[in-house]
This record gives sequence, structure tokens and C-alpha cells, in this order.
Amino acid sequence: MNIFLKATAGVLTALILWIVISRHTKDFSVLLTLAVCAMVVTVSIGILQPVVRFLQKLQDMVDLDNDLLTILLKVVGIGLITELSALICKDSGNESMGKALQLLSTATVLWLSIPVFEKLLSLLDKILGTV
Amino acid sequence: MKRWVIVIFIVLFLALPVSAVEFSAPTAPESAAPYMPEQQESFADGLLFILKKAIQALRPELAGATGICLSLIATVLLMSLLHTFSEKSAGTIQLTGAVVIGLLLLTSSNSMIQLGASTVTELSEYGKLLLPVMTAALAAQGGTTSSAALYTGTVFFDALLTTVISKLIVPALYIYLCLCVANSAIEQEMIKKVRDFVKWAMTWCLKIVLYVFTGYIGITGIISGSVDSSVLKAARLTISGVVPVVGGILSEATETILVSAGAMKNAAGIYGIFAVLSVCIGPFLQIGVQYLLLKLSCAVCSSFGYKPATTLIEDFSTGMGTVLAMTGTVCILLLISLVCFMRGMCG
Amino acid sequence: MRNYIFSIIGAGIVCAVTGCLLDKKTAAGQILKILSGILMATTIISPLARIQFSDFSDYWNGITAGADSYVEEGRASAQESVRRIIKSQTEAYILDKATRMDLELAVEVELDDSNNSLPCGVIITGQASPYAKEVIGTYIEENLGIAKERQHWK
Repeated sequence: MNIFLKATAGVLTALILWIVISRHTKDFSVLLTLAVCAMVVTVSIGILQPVVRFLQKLQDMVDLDNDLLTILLKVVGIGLITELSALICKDSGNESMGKALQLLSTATVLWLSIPVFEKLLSLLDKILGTV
Repeated sequence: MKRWVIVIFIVLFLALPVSAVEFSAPTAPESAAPYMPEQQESFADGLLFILKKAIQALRPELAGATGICLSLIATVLLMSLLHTFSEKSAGTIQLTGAVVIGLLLLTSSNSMIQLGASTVTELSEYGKLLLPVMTAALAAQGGTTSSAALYTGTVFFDALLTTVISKLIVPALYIYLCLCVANSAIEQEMIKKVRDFVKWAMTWCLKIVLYVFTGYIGITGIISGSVDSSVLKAARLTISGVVPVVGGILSEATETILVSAGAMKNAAGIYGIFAVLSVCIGPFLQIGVQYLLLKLSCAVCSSFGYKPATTLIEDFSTGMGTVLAMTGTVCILLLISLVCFMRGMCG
Repeated sequence: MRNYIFSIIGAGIVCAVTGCLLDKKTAAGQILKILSGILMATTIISPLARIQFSDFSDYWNGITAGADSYVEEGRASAQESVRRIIKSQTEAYILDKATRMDLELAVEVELDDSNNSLPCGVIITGQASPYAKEVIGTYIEENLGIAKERQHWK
């Protein structure tokens, strides 16, 4: 809870700083935005680690497929990074870069998903083959 | 009933020049012994005897079930009054009410579910002893193809139904009751949908197995019955072609054995029907009484106007209905099979 | 069953947790939604892949073998009873003729192994004149179809 309050306070402070800086120079304001986002992402990863450990524990308990869980978590990570990066690009006035980044993330996520689709097809093949 | 079977056997023994074939049904299980008719003049009298004994044994259960229902009605009345006077605490009242009703009903529902499951197991075990006797008796009567087909179908579907009930329906019933309590407490669309799906799945499983079994019996009965009839006709034709005196002796001997095997088969079949009904009737009536009293409580409680509680009681009565259905399905499967065995070579 | 239910609940929790982290309006969120669905579907239908239909055919063969053995038991029992009746009736028929001729004989009929269990031989024990033996022999041959070569006198 402490970390959350400190991070929120840091973001609000950075916002005020950004408002002041952006009047004079846009470059530093972009750098400030990047730094604050990196800080918040680092804090979020720290908070999410127990959640990821819980999911891994759940996976061991209920015998879920390890590969599928890993792919899901990677997709979540890629999605979050892309969303944040695209918004930073938009704030900097370069929407087209943001869109390109989104296209890249979609392609990467689809490439990561191929084993999942293959797994489903092989399971169906196994069931229908036995029948 | 045992004495009746023995009397028939003695009469046949005296009537025949030599001993005829012997097929007797296995003794009814211990739980069925109090309900088995000892000596009845007719099938209807035997059924009436079973029913009378079952109703007599029901009285203690009736008192317990009535007590639970009165507690339910009192609880719902109280909740309805609280809801009327304190609408701001509606959520709390709903949650508390669901927990109280759930606690009142879950214990009795659990014992009914266990009763139903043990009855299904007992019926299945008795069927495993009875079916070989009926198969051998029908085969002795000349129905070799039909007896094999009937035995195979009944054993397979009985095993399938027992497995589905023990591995799927009984756990699903508990899940269903928990979902009903949860839905009554917090009323979520997702929980309601899962609850309805579980209810549909349980009913659908039982129906499908019974429909497929009945279809199998119908189709194989026609095919195998005609095969056996044609085999018997061919045998009779062969007999008619031999020397007249020998032919007469042969035909008389065959007819005697067919008749005695048929009589023994029918006697074993009737005893088996009584035994199956005796195993089933006590638990069936107990669960049926719970079901009816819950339905009555639901009707009474609906007049108080507090819907969540009424819906929960109705859901529990549906659960009891499912327990009745699963017990009844196994009983009907065995009865259909026994009737088909008895009808086997009657034409 | 318990493990199966837990695996579905676990998969549901995983999908719910991962779904909370991404906005479903984004492309990655949409793909995550599809992947979550596939995870749930594979968890739900995976038991079907473990069913071995060869086990089913073995089980079915076991039941039909049991049926065949009970059918054979019934058929053999009936066949045995028919043979006993035919033997005793045939012996009684011959003895009846012998009694009418004032002869005291003991008769044992042999049956063949066919399905119809026809009488194929007879052993007659007792005192009788050659004429009486001839009469009885002809009677047996004409009425019971047992040839004279298969009739043995003791």
C-alpha cells in the first residue's frame, strides 16, 4: 500500500513538473514523461510479481499447460508495453509511430499465439482421430 | 414370493416325466427384504403389498421433513417482514436469508443425494446377479439371439448410467445446490447461467441414456426376435421330417422344456421385478416426500412475496427432483429389461 | 473428477486475472480474449483426448463374451433336459411294447449328438424268444427309426 501511495504521489509531482516544463521546452517534458512511465512500470512489475507467482502456483496445483500460461503472460506484457509506448508517442505528437508500434505488437502477439492454435488443433485431431 | 416360486417348481416337477430346467432369481438384497411380498395370488396384489409396506415405513421420515418445511416457512416469513420494514438492509437480509435456508436444506439434501446414490449402486449390483439367470432362462427357451442382445445392452447401459450418476451427476448436484445458494445470496447473471447449464446437463444426460437404451431394446428386439423365431421354425420343420413316433416324442420334449423354461423365466422375472421395486420404493418415497414438501413450502412462501427465498427453495426441490430422476432411471432401465426378457419368446 | 473441476476453475482464474490487465479495446486485448477462450476450451475438452476407444471395444467384447457364456449355459441346460426326456420316453415306448408281449426287459436308449437328439441305438437286456426279438426289433425299426444293426440284445 505504501509503494502505491508513494508512486501516486511521484506521478502527481511529475505531472506538475511536466506542466511547468512543457511551457518552456517540449523535449524535456517528453523525457520526463518517459522517466515517470518507466518508474511506474518498474513499481507495477514489483507489485505484480506475487500475482505471477500465484498463477504459477495455481498452474502447478491444477495441472494447467505451462506453455499456454507463459504465452498468456507474454501477451499481457507485450500489450501493456505497447499501449503505454503508443500513448507516449501520441503525447509527443507522433501518432503514426504509435500506430506502427501497435502493428508491431499485434504481429508479435499473433506470432506468439501460433503454438496455442497448434495445440488446440492437435487436441481436436487426437479426439477425432480416436473416434 | 419365495414360497410361490418353490410351489411352481414343485408342480412342474410333478407334471414332467423328468426334471425340467432350473432357473431361480437371486435373493433380494437385505434392504428390500421388508418390502418383498411373501405369498401373493396376483402380480397386482404383490405391488400393493410393496406399496403398503413402503408407506408404513415412511411415517418417521414424514415427521422430520415436515419439521424442516415449517422452519423454512417461518424463516421466509421473518425475512419477508424484515425486508418490508428495513428496505435499506435488503442486501444483508438477502445474504443472511440465503445462508440460513441453505444451512436448513443442505444437510437433508446431502442425505437424500447419498440415499439416491446408494440405491443406484444396490440396483446395479442386484441387476448383475439377476441378468445372467434371465439370459440363461431365455436362451433355454430358444431365444439365444435375443437373450444375448438384451444382456449385452442392459449391462452396458446400466454400467454407463451408474458411472455417469456416480462420477458426473452426484458431484454436479452438489455444485448445482451451491450455485443456487450463491445466486440467491448475490444474484449474479453469470452464476445463474452456470446453474441453469448444470441443471440442463444433468437432466439431458439421464434422458439421453434412457432414450438410447429404449431405442436399442426396441430395434434389437425386432431383429433378434425374428431371428430366434425363424430358428425355432426351422427346428420344428426338421422334427416334422423324422419318423412320426420319434417326431412326436421330440416335439413333446421340446414343448415341455420350452414351457418349463418359460415358466421358470417368468417366475424369476416376476421375483426380480418385485425385488427391484422393493429396493427402489423406500428411498424413492423418502426423496419424493422431500420433493413434494419442498414444492408445498415454495407455494406457501410465494404468498409472502419474498422472491429470492422462494426461488432458492424451488431450486432445492428441483435438486430433489433430479435425485428422484436418477434413481427412477436406473429402476426403469432394469424393469424394461426384465419385461423384455419375460416377453422374449411370447411372439 | 475433482482434478478436472479444479483445472477448469484454475483456468478461469488465470483468464480472469490476465484479462483484467489489458484493455480489451486494443488489438492485443482482443487476441488475449481469443487465447483465454482457447485455454478454457482445451481445459474443458482435454479429458476426451484421454479416452481410449480400444478400451471401450475391449469392455464391449468382455460383455458379449459374458452374454455368450450365459446363453450357452441356458442352451446346454435345456438341451440336456430334452435329451433326458427323449431317452426316457423312448425307453418307455419300447418297454410298453415288451409288457404287452409279456416280456420283462430292461432298455437303454442311446441318442445321437445332433441338435435334435434322435435315438440312434438301443441295448435291450432280458430273456426273449427269437420270434419275440424279431417282433420287437421290427417294431423298434419301424416306429423309432433304429436300424436292427444298432439294436443290441444282452
